Amino acid sequence: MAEINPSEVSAILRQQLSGLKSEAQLDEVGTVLEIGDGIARVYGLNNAQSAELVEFENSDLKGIVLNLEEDNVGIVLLGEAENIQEGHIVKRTGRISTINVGEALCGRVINSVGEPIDGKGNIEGDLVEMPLERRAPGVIYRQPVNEPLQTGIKPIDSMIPIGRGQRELIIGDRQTGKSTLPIDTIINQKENYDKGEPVYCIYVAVGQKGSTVAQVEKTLRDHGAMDYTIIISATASDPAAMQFYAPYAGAAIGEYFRDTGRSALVVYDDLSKQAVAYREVSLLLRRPPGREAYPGDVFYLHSRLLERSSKIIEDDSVAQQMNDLPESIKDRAKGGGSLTALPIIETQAGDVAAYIPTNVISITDGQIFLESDLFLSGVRPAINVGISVSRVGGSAQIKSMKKIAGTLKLDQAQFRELEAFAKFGSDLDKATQAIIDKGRRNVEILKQDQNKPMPVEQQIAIIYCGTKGLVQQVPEKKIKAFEKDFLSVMQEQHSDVLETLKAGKLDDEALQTLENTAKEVASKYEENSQE
Amino acid sequence: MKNKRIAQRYAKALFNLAMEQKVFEQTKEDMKYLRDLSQVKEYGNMLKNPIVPVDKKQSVSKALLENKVGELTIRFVTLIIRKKRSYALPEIADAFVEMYNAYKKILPVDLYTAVPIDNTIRDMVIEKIKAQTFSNEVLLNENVDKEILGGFILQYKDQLYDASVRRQLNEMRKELI
Repeated sequence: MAEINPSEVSAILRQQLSGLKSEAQLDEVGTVLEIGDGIARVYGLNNAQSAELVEFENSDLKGIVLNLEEDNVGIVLLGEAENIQEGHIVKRTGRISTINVGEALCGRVINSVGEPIDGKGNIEGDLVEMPLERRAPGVIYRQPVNEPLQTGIKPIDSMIPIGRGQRELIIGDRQTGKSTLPIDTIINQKENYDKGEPVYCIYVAVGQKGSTVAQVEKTLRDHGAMDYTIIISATASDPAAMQFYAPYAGAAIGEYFRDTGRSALVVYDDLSKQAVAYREVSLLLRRPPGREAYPGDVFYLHSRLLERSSKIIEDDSVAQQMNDLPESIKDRAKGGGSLTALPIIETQAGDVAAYIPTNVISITDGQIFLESDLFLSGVRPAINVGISVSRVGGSAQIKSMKKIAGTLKLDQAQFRELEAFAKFGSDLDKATQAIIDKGRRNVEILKQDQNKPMPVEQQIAIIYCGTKGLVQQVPEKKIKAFEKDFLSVMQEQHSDVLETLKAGKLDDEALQTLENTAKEVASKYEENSQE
Repeated sequence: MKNKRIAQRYAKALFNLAMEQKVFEQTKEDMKYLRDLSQVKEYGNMLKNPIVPVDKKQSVSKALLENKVGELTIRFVTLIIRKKRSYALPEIADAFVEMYNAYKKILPVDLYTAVPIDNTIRDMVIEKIKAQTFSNEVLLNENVDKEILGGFILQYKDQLYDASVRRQLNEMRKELI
């Protein structure tokens, strides 16, 4: 057994206590008037600011000041209000609520105030303080969206392209695959990570089951996506304040990457639950209820959050002047960063005209509608292409994809219209039949398995087959097999063509190769069908 | 605490009127008396009880206050009872004293120590606070609390200066655990 050295022990103890401030200081305090239901009313705290962090004496409990009233302040609690009674003292901290952010967060699961909850110990390394609430960058510090964010999902990248810095809403009923889309998107960013230009991903889970969050974490880890991903979890059992601050924590982390010149993607899953948590707190604080009992500022709750997503101007010197840039990252601010947001909204029985869905639809730069009818009929991802739009992503799409998928959306819209007629089984003229046949095959081509994002060059290749009608002779049921075969042939024999497509170029030679290969592979399946 | 807003409105009215009629000091003493009086359980309960008729409350109050407080105070109490705000009377009295203190720059201070303090320390503390807070007078309310182990805690308005041994130990505990 090793010898015990008392002087060493005391040296270590002293070192541990070196940060301790034994000096007393003048604190501003108040006394608890009432506490419960996740809120406290406190008398005193005359100089407290809105959104300031306060501490309760005799406990680790912290709270955030939300209401400043004539004779008391309303505070939301960030934990359980055990052992706190009327008359207990509440202290100001003088700090606006912040979260500690750094690269070390990657691969971790944290709560809304940045504490790790994955049992892997403290978060070490270089961390900077970022405010949870922060004003969005002004107009002069932004630039239009011009760089694509590849989701790896065929219908999205081809018809509803998302650019870096965009805010694209994912909306649909329960059980329509809403969460799957952003998870696939996160998995698809692995390519960027491997290239050394990571798109940092932040997945904010609000009001979900703990088991769901664990499942997401496992999926991402299995696909090697946790290396560049941070999960913020405020499960259904966490205090309401934690739930409605979780997206702000996600935005704060994203801003750290954005303002240091990198790309980040933040997924808010989902904002309808966040609005419900906010409604709960607001009603308990006796703010007047409005439509659907949401408080008057529920629009502002979402607009100020989503407005923080942006593409920052390339010019470093301008970007360093950005408004409300926290002191902590002033010296490392860079231009050219972006923060893309994928908020999710859950609708009730497809009602997109409810309060929160209409609000968020109007805030975002486009939306992806998921429908349970499509989902159940086997069209997965169950995206309704007709009503899904991307208002700014088009300019960010790579050239080759833009050219090839240009007519796809229109074709599919036409097909949907005619499909209704086809159901009557009446005789159709040849042109109509051709449109329907092509549409059905396109639908097959656009189907994609879960957790299998596809590189953009492969998407281009297979969508080209669909839009050019190269698979007209392949039976619908064999489209998937054809796709697999075709892509493996392309990868093995014509990887150079795929490279040019990826680079955004589209020359006649490449198109010719695509066409020839498609015809060759398709012929195999045609023969089989005749047997 | 709940009636704070009501209390402040009434106290302000009384304060202004007392200034006008130059019975300022007298009214302050009256309010202190009233506050002590409402600490008496029977009287306090009666004021709070909504079942007791208004004229009963008025006559009892009059009998209790006659010859002890000024005429203005009696009129004021009668009004409060008539307006069915008698439950807020102790708080109104408190609010008035607070306003008086603020006007005269008198600062009530709570001091907690583990052992009783002597005169030299008391004078030192008062001088220090006076200098710090620019107040004319300090009303020191001394409390002995063994729980704080040592040092002292000073509290005035919503400021707290905690120089107790208990806090330092707690902070050390937080650092280590």
